[in-house]
Amino acid sequence: MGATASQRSEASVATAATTGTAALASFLAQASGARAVEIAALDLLEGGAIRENWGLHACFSGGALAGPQRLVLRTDALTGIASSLSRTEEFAVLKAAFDAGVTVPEPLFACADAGIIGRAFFVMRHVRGSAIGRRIARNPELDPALPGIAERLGRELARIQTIRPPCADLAFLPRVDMVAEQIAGFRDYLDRHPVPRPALEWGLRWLEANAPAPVAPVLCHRDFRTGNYMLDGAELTGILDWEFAGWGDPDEDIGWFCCKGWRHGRLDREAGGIADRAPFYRGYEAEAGRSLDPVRVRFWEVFANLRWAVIALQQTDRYLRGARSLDLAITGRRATECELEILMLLDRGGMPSRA
Amino acid sequence: MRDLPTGAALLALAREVLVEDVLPLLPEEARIKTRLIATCMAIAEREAAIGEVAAEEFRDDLLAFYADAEASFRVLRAQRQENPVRLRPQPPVPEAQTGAAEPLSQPDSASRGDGGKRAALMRRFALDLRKGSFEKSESLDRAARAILWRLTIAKLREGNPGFLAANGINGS
Repeated sequence: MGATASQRSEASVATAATTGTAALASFLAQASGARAVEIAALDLLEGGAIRENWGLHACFSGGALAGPQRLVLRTDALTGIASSLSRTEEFAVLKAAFDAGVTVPEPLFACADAGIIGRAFFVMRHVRGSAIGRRIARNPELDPALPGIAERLGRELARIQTIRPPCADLAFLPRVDMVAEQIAGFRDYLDRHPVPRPALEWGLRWLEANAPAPVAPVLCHRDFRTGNYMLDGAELTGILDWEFAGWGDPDEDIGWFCCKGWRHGRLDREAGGIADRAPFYRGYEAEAGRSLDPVRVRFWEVFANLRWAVIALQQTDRYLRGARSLDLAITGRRATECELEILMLLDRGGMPSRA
Repeated sequence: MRDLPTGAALLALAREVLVEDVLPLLPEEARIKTRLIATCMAIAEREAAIGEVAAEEFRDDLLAFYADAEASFRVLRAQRQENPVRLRPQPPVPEAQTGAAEPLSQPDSASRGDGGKRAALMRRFALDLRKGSFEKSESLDRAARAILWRLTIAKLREGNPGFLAANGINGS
């Protein structure tokens, strides 16, 4: 779900035009109890095709954040996909994760009033580092540290899952652990898609027949992967992009993290393109106090491939509906990579040896 | 008669110049977009080179597959009438979850043109896979999976042969 330069530059122009920095400064002053806030810079950051993140340098006169502050303002891009949370909802999820001890940027203020910058937004502390998956997975200097990072990510994921319903502050979160409903949603999409996708249909049929027994739902990030966490050198500084969160199966995020589509060219490193599964699983199991069941993880990995295939096709739908973006235009092709992986996961014996 | 070089050759040359001569001169942000442009050009080149051959092969594959499938279903129906006990081939998934074998969907005779007929045939195949129509016959099930492999590999040969190679499959 990475952004392209063109998406960012188009969005940048549009948002800059609608951003009232005076109104934003006034909001920040009121929210933090400052006498005044001076905004020195507001720059669009890279990453996020569906959301925009703006680097915000501001000086607070008094109040809870007195002094110069480096913050991030997160708001909606011009186009999005239907299944994600609003910014104020995402703020609430981020806050719950922060309170549970998950490594995330500290959430500060949320604003549902579209009158300030033209859309709802929230503000969090800036964290150092980069989240670009390809640079993380393909930087030889990072290699020695990556198994440790994978183990840490396993622990972080287990900590996320300590947040469980009922939870009054997160009552808006959807239940996403009903496999039959998810399959019905994917099929409904495929029914409206102009190109038949027999391999996806075959995979969905397998999911339908092999769904594991439901377990108590937990907070599921639903986009927990390399590309959505920040590393400053070898230090994990923040888990990002909580917009798809829901109450889900605890193994769904494991399957998503290990899904081949998120290995950034390092297919051999099955845990997010950064390590073997062992350190990731070890960290998760130690923190969660339960052993992962490979049969369940495999199910959710097949599920991840189907979900990512549908999301990729939906991204290209945005191009087909008029969004001018090379990245969106080409993302749908990645659905075929998911189809190959589904076949490799479920029909290894059928793989042609010399295709 | 068109002049030489062909449009396909021009496209290939343009991509080569873009990647080898232009890209190194660009700032990082523009390089990302330029690589994406080169990828799109490569897909267009490969699709143009392969043309409709692969699509026609799949049409023939599916037509032959459905001829076999319809014959198998006729035999299954006849056997069911004679001796239901014999109709227990090994199901690949638990029967309680998949239910009985679904009948084949009907061919779409309304579609027009080669492209429309091919798409209708592929839609029929997709629908039958959704219903699990081939699961009661081991040979049909295997044949259907073989088509899925060939179809997927053929699409990646056009779209991303590097991904095939990275998975140990010949992408050329």
